[in-house]
Amino acid sequence: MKNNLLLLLWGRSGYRIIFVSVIIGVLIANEREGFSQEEKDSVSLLPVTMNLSYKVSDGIRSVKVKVTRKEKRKTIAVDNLKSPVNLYLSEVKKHDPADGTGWIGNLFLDEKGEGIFELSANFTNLISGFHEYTFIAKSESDPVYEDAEESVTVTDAKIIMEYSGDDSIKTATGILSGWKDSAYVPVPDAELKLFIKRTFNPLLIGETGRVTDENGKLSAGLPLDIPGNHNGTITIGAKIDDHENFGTVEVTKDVPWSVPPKESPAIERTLWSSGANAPLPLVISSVVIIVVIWGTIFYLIFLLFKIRRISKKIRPGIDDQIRNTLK
Amino acid sequence: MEEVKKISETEAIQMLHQYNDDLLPKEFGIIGKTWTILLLIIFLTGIYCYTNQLREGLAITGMRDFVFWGIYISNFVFFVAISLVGSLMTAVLYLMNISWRAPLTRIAEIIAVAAIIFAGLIIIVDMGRPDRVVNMFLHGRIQSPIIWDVMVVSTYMTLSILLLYFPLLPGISFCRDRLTDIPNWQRRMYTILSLGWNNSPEQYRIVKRAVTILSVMIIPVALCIHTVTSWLFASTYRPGWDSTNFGAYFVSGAFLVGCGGVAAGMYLLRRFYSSYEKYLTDDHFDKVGKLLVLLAVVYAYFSINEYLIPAYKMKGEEGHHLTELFTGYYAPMFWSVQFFGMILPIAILLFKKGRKPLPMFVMAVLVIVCAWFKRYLIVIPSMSFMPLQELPEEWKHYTPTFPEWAITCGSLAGALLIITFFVRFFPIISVWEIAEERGIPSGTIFKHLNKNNEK
Repeated sequence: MKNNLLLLLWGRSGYRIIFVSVIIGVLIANEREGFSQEEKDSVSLLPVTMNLSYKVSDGIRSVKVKVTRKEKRKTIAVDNLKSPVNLYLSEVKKHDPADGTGWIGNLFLDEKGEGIFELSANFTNLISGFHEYTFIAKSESDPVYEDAEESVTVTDAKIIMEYSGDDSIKTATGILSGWKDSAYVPVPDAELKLFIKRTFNPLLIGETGRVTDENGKLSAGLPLDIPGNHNGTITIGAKIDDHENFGTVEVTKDVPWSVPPKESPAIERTLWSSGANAPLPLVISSVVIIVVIWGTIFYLIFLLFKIRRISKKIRPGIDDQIRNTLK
Repeated sequence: MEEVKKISETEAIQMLHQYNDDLLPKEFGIIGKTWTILLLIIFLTGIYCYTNQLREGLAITGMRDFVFWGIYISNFVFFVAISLVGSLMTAVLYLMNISWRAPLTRIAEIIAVAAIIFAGLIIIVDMGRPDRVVNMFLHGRIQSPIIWDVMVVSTYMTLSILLLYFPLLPGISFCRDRLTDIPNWQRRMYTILSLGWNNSPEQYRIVKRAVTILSVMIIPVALCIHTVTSWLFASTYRPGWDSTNFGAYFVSGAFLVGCGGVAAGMYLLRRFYSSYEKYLTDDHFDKVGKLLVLLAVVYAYFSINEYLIPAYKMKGEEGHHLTELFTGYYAPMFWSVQFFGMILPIAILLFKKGRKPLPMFVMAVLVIVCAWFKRYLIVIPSMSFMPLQELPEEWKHYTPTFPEWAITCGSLAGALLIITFFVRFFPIISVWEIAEERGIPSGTIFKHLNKNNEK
């Protein structure tokens, strides 16, 4: 039967070309498919770079993981790992409830290829005997990307925030101390940043590049005219960024402040205000134009009804026809 | 054109019979059917690509953060431009009491309606999220030119539909009463749309009153629609758009392309319906040709203003933009558009032989095609300029993708489909307006038409 069909197709010269073309087309398509399958099997996993950082902000500890990869000399965020990144304390192993080491949790990455794992208060209790930690982040068994592992070792550090001053001089002081042997000791020559918390980015105070003295102290004068918060305070703070021993440490403190906050200016009717605060002349003229034009349009629509009414008076048959059609 | 001073009632009735026979819509032949199927295929391809865009988002287009207006917006400006012809042919010529306008008004009006409908739709396509259209009305800022555009487009669309519909009422009633061999749905459509029209003098008076009101109203609204569209550009900081000449420049260009649209429509109707030759005469082509020359000259004047003075100064970004247009990447398109869309039509149509139907048609098509590309040149090169520095080079370039072209072509096909279906189902030349133009007294028209209705 199959042979008959082939002979039938082959026997007609017009169809012969089509038949041969179809066969060649199918062969080429299959060849391409086979090739792409082969290509797919041999695809190697993409290498990735993992960064790990540690932060203590007002006593809350967190670990941040960032995964990127290089493509044509550009760094691209990896946001599509199939499995979460696992985090371990001290060594890669199962969680050990006795000392809190081993697996401590996992996290998924966002569209920037980043994920932040906040260490719980419970975790802090478990490791209360530790003052030096090694965090390990590990991603593995991804079908697209190579396995990656990164670790960071940090030592406990703390910053004490002090504030002093009268009406003419107000000073913020940060005192940085780090754990060494069995106690916290002052950390000299560390680049400590003093700042005032504002709505968006913090306002840095004092000269940049200054470091702590032998007592771990750094002071800076506060600008006297800066507006405070609504509750009569301002929030001052100090931080060290990505310190090789301590990671990022940040502390803030609310202090009393006499300069009141700036009241929002009265809402003005301007071209750049919200729609509800458009300039009145613009609103009035627009409304008048819209009412006049659309009023006339509604009058014209009324005229259409009038035309229909006239038809009804003179030729009721037509109106019945419309009514029947609309049913 | 036929000039009738005094016509006897018998002659008038004969003429009216003739008009009815000539101007009632007719079934399409093979060319008409092929044309309709072709348009449907293009339109449906556009719809298919639009459903993909709805699913995938505007990422399937070539538009990105910096070039965020592409051919959808050029197409929108083109549609708005061509829609202005309704106000020119119907309103301006009506108010000026130009007698030869009668066979052209409905062609102009249906072009205006089809174009303005698709202008509104293509803006929704460009928004990417059609479900948010209602937010424009609920949360729009009256200070924004975009909201002015939304208001004026919807107003102009309503006015254009009314200006088409009022004078069409007697025509629909002719179809309802005269077309016998038609399917039921078509008869129902005529019955509903005719509003029971019975050619009473009072109904005609209402129609005339409405047309006068609409003609007065539509002129400022038409000027507003294209001026506001030009302000969308002029109020945005980009080289090439920072112009106080933009409103007048856009409006003059719009009248030109609209007039080109009517000239092309006139030729095609005359070519495929031999009976229309008596109504769309060589004299009409001659007059529309002269009008086209006038509009092209006015547009040339505003174009010179638009380019010459900035080119004299060549300052900063503006200079860079103009260099791109005059001698750079866009130069071939820019000079082709100027030559074929403006200079050549003026040169050809200045001569009487050039205003014959065929050369007129060729010039009209050139004007229309060049007008589309002119809008491309207004939108895209200015968008390619980046107000920020040190950004990736690829952000500068915009190439429309296949779905964008398909949707754009689909919208053009959709507008042509509206015109095509209108020609198929409604009288494209108004019988009663032709009768009035040729001096048949109104009384005779009402009497004759009523008499026919009573048959």
